[in-house]
Amino acid sequence: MQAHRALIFKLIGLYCPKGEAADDAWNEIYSQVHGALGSFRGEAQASTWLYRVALNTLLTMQRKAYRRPATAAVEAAHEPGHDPEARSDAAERLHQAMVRLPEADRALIALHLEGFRAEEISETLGITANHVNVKVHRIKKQLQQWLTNP
Amino acid sequence: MAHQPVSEFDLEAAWKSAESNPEPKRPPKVPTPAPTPLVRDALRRQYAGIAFSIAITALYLYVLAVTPSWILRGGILVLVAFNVAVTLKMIPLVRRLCQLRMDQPLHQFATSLLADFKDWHRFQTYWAGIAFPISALTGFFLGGTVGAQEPDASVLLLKPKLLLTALGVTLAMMPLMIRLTRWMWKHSYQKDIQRLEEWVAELK
Repeated sequence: MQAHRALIFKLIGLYCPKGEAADDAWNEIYSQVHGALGSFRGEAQASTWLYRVALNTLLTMQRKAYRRPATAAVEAAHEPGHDPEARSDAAERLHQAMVRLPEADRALIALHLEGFRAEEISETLGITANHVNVKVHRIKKQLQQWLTNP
Repeated sequence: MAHQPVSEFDLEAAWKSAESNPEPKRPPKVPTPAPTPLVRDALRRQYAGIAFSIAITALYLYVLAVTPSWILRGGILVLVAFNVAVTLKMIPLVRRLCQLRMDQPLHQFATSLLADFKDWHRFQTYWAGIAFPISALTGFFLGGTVGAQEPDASVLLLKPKLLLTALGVTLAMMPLMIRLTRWMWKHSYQKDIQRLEEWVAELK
């Protein structure tokens, strides 16, 4: 779980603001993962299994925590050769656009942007890989539209 | 500051450049196997329903033991059977919720949870619609028997005016009762169901 915590925190950030609600979500996911460990049979990749549990937990978390869009700024990572201010702005704008998406689409595009293949996303979400590709295309188009015409 | 248009490449770069939420201030609690909040709420309501059903059944059994009227006894027996059926029906639902696998793909997870909730809703509405007239008529004649100090409700049944009044009041209250059942359901589950439906629809 430690190896995947960065993405899990990013996912949490898409569904609830920083603070108590995010801490609760992390605790809940942590608890559910430990609770479900006994049912892990290795039929799916460990990462697929983990994100399934995490997303199902986020889906069944208390709704009040998850209806609020995340508004807190996201700080950019500092990497050589890039303008930190510009990256911070881009990351924040992307975050703001992503929280406008329907809830399931946020998970889908997050996994895609993280570099998961359509087949892996399809196993996590339970839809076909073709459907994932279609949705990714549609969501990206929507994001581009929001980002270019805010 | 004017925003530059963000290309497809930039979407991925921006995502990767974003830091995740900061580490929680509180360390994770020692995990104890427990259902998620939505399931916990549903289970709590189910347990409350079972407890209420058992209490009402006990009350019916008491009334059954003390009432001399065979007609009222028949009505009460139907209600006891209804309560037992409802309680028995609740048990598999509670078991399904307790054994809900959190590692299912999201779409299947949301669909099965939604199906469980809807299944329960249909059952509750259907059986409440059947039980209410029996319950109302039994209550009406039980009250009448006690009030009139009659040993048998059959005496009251022979009074057409009273019988028609009982039937009329029961029929008039049926839509109200159905509305109340729906309202209670909506109040308890509507937001959860709506959210599950949204997720299922989004993944279609």
